[in-house]
Amino acid sequence: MKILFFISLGLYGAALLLQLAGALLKGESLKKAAWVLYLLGFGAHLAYFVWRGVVAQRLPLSSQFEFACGFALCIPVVLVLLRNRMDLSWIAAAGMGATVLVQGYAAFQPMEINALMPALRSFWFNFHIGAAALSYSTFLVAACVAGRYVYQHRKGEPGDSLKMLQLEELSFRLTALGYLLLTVVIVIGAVWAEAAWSAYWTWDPKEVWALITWIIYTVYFHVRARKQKSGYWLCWYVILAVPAFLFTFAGVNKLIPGLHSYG
Amino acid sequence: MKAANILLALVALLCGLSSLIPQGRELPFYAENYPGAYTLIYRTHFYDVFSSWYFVLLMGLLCLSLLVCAARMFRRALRSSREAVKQAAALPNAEQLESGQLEQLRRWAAARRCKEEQIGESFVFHKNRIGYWGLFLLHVSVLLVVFFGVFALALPKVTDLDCRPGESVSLEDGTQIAVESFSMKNESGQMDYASRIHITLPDGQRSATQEIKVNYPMTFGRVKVFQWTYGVSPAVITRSKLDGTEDRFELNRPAFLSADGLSGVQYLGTFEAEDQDDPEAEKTVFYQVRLVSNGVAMSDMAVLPGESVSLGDWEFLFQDPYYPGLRVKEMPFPYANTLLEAAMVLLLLGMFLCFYLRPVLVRADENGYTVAGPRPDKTRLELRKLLQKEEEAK
Ligand code: HEM
Repeated sequence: MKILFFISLGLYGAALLLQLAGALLKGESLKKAAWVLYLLGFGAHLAYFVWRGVVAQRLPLSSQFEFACGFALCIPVVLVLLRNRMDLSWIAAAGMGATVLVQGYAAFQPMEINALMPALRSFWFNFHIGAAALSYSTFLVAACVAGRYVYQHRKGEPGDSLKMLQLEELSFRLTALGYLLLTVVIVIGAVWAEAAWSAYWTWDPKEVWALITWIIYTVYFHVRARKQKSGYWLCWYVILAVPAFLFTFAGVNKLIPGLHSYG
Repeated sequence: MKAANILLALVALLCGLSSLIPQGRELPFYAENYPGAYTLIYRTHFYDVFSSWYFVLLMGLLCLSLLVCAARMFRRALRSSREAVKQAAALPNAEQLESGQLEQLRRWAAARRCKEEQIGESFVFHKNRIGYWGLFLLHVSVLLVVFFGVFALALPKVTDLDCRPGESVSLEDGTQIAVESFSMKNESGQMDYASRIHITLPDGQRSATQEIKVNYPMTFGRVKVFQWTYGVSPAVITRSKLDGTEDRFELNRPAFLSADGLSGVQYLGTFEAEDQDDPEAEKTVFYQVRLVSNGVAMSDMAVLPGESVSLGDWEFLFQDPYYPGLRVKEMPFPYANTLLEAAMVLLLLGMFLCFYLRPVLVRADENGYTVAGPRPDKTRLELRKLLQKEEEAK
């Protein structure tokens, strides 16, 4: 069944190439085909995720591989939900690129299915880690939208045009959703830590970096609320915040040992 | 808010710096691993940033700033929730409306379930009045989380205990904790540490029994007992077949278990066996013993915990060598954690109000409209899009 994972990665990659070709050649049919391929990739990805869950008899989100795979899976979920509400062609390439990168990262991680250790067998596991995967993917799509804003700005589109205002507002709303989910992750994490490790907060590196990410986004909301910075500035901020949560997700596990280093 | 941002950025910076070296270890660890930077690490309290005076000061300032802001937000929320509609009615038009567009705006407002009020010449469309409280709730709950969080971390007394099945320990206040049984695996053979615990409160009257596991502690009164770790302590119970008398011996070293010094069981040690098919699986512990009769070694055998060996008038019952390590947390008062958890729920609620129940407040007349209220971007964009589309269609 591993093949399904690689098929999904291949389909995502092919969709990205078609989307880029469509953008360069201004071919609408190429872009449509890219979206179809992307959806097929999502189908294969989802099937692999469900299969893995059935085999492991749990939500498959426990190791770096599983989490990256779940994180990547949430990106098309967010894109599909957005596409139902608006024309998405302008961020499809970035969204597809993000999916390929995260899924590609997963491909380099050890893939075996392990039984959960007792500390992870908890009611809170699904909510804590599921919310984290959704939060990161929402932040990433927000950064894609912000990237589009920056691109349009560079092309000379005025910041007060309806399109630009909508782009900035969308990147804000996605960031707000990601932030709310990140808060859920931290709150549930604290409650879980109290049950598992007897203390709500232990300054474990993963906790510390989740807090850093949370603060970085808090500052974003403060700056935006003051209305003193332009949409261009705010969009750059959303893009530059990406390394923070990526470090919380992967860097902490790889570089800093701590209680969260399960896999 | 600028000051708050600076304080927040400093907290994030210190958190980031703290990741450069492991925190909270014994000082010799740093002397050994960072000989060049040791003096700096020691002087700046960098070995435990989160308990340093500068971190505590920073958090104190952040809380102060939160308190001041929350007080301001409270006043503003109170005023807005009472007067925002009236104030909005007096605003001048910010955007023009063509003829017939007021009706369209009214339809838009009705579709969003906005209330409509006429004040003088103005029509005010509004909803989500509760949203005015979002910012206050969000900020005050952050303050409460920090406040109760500090209590939740600092006040409980935490003790780690070893207690063998069948034994009990007393805490300083007289609470008794007894371990009835301990197991390392569940029915399906999966590693799953579980102790059956009996707690008796100091009054001696109230008591409760519960099975605890990793992630599933037992709370009773002010006491919370966690399944923390486990230890290995081999032991045997000798039972006389003649009168049924029993004795228990801890097997800390090789020993000869004999009533007459000639016949008995010689305990050689406790060993671990690996599963040939699954080297990753937890190892099985067994007792290695030698049966001796009248001073002559008869045979060596491996005995699994729970099994017994019979020799002459004696039976030797080899005990499960594992016992649980428990962590006991004595809370300052019952339900102390509930306050912190309630504050965390308020935080999420405040955030939800801020982002998803923002007040909508639009004032309009035949000639134009204006969008009022805090952060009205979404409403403004929606209306611009709606009315622009209409114009384009025309
Ligand atoms: C860790 C602490 C804090 C967190 C998590 C936090 C969070 C937030 C969030 C998420 C918003 C945006 C709400 C929205 O966009 O609707 C916001 C707005 C705001 N915060 Fe904070 N904040 C914190 C500390 C502070 C402090 C200390 C102050 C005091 C100076 C402050 C003052 C404000 C103000 C004045 C606004 C915006 C008001 C407006 O919309 O006009 N915050 N905060």
